[in-house]
Amino acid sequence: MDRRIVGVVFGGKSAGRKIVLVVFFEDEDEEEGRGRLGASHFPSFQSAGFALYYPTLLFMSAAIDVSRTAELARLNLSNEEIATFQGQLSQVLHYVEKLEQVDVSAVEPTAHANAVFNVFRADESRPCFTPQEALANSPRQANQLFIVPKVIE
Amino acid sequence: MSLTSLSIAELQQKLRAGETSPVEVLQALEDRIAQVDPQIHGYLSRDFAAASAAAEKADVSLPLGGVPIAIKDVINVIGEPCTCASKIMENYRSPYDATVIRKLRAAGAIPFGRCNLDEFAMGSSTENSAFGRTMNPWDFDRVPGGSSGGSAAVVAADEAFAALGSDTGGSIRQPAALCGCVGLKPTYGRVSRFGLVAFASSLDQIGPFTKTVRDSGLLLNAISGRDPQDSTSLDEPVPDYTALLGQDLRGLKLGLPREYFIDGIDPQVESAIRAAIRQYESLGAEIVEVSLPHTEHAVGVYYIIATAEASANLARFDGVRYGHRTEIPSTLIEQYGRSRAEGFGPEVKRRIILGTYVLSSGYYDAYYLRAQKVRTLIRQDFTNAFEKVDALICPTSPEAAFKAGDRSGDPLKMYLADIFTIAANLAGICGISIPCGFAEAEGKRLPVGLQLLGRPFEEARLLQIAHAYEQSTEWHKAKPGV
Repeated sequence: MDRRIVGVVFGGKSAGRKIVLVVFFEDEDEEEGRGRLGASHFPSFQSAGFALYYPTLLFMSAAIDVSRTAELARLNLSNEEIATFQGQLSQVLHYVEKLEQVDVSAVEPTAHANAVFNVFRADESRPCFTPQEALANSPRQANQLFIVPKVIE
Repeated sequence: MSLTSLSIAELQQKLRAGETSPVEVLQALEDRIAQVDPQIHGYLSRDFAAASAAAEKADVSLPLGGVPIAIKDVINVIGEPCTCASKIMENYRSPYDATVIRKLRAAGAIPFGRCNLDEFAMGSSTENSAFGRTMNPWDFDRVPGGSSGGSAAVVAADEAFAALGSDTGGSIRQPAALCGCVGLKPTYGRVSRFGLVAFASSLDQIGPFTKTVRDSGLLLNAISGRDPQDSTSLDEPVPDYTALLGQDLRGLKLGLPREYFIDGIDPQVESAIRAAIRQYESLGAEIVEVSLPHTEHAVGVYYIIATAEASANLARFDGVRYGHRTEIPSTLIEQYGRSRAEGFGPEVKRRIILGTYVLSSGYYDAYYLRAQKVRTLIRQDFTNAFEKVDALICPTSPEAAFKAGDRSGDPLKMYLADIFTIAANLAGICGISIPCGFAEAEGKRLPVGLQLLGRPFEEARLLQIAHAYEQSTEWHKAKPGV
């Protein structure tokens, strides 16, 4: 993914909140063949100072899009959380960038340190939870069923 | 000498000689906890009635008969809470026993008490608990380490004879070092993870906190073994892990990984470790320098793999079948988003975001796949080193217990606390931390931990090496005086 800066705004207020720095960037998605506009905003001097101190952060695809990722993870974060995590996680990602220096061209990945394979058992029924046990911690239940919001329109 | 200050081996002597009974032992423990835990906050809850019922029927001739064991609040014990130190699981009651609990009961032990931890085992200080931090018994202003900080603290303060914890990146060994007790991370696959709330499935292992190395072997005997309900548990025979204790160390080689002796280690920690190494030489071990060249990448690899696995494992907390569900009326997707946002603490959210990100389309190859390849190299480093030596010796933690609040604003700094423990989880090998002296800060003595790392499934050898040092020094007898 390629990212380029298309604009910067420093200082100002938005919806009553102090915004110190906003960076507009465009991501080019090779697969989709079009650009995606986004903005990172740094609401505190600390996070803005951090972004300016590591200007390469603004250019690297390592600048994590917390908002979009939170959507994928089904986490409703507040704006404040998004901004704080933006700074903190960028720092972590910057730290892990050094993994790029390692020559892994001839290396197989390890998913499982002491690997075992094809651990099967006979396809036989075994004791398991009764419906009462399975429902014991449910937030809402009725008729031996978990009650959930409507999913079919 | 009070009952609660005894090790398990000493306690068993008294139980089997009829000098005390399991009911009396449990009462003494409960009294000690009532006296001391309001200050330490190592326990989140305990069910004295259930434990008493078990104590009445306990058979002291069994391997752990009548011995109460405290349990990290992330391992299921039927009928008890399993909060994971999180609001999202605050009201959950376990409908089943974890395999390790079944095994402890079969050995006659009595699960008693739920120990505090960093939320979902994510942290190195127990400050991430949603229910308040645990105090280090040696200095209440300082952290006990984490994530199994409660387990370590209660053993160190004689509020438990032993405790179970879990270790994903050092979460048994590091708090053991900071609290001055013995903490063992078994080889990956040695102990069943069934019933342990999963954090990172390829890294997690359950292990014991004890006052002595012998006690550690006793516990490992009880909890080890292949479990059909955990397909990652290995079909390795379980020997008697105390069988090699007392054998001398002549002929054994201990490796010093040169990358683990760097600037940035607290000088008092380093000097305690160096003294321990000299002690090992006087016990007949040969010290050999080795190299683990990919050490500097371990923390980076870990924070990609562990967070990626965590993001998948914590997807189950969606408010549908158990755990917190938002009261705000929502569509299904909103219900997920709100329940999880309301229930999870900041560190958990951070790690879920990071893990989701490194697995997401466009980033998977650059981060996750690359990290798994570097993991192979890290694992290979250990395999190579173990061709030359029988075990590795190094510090557990670069420093003694730090002050509460010191790291809370700086996640990366907190992550670097695990720098010596993390690689062992990535490689799947076994490791133990044992007390080896003290650092001093502001007039308080703070424990220093020595770490030994062993080949996969060679815990017996590891314990033998640890035991020899322990018995030649007095560190394991020191108490915090709470």
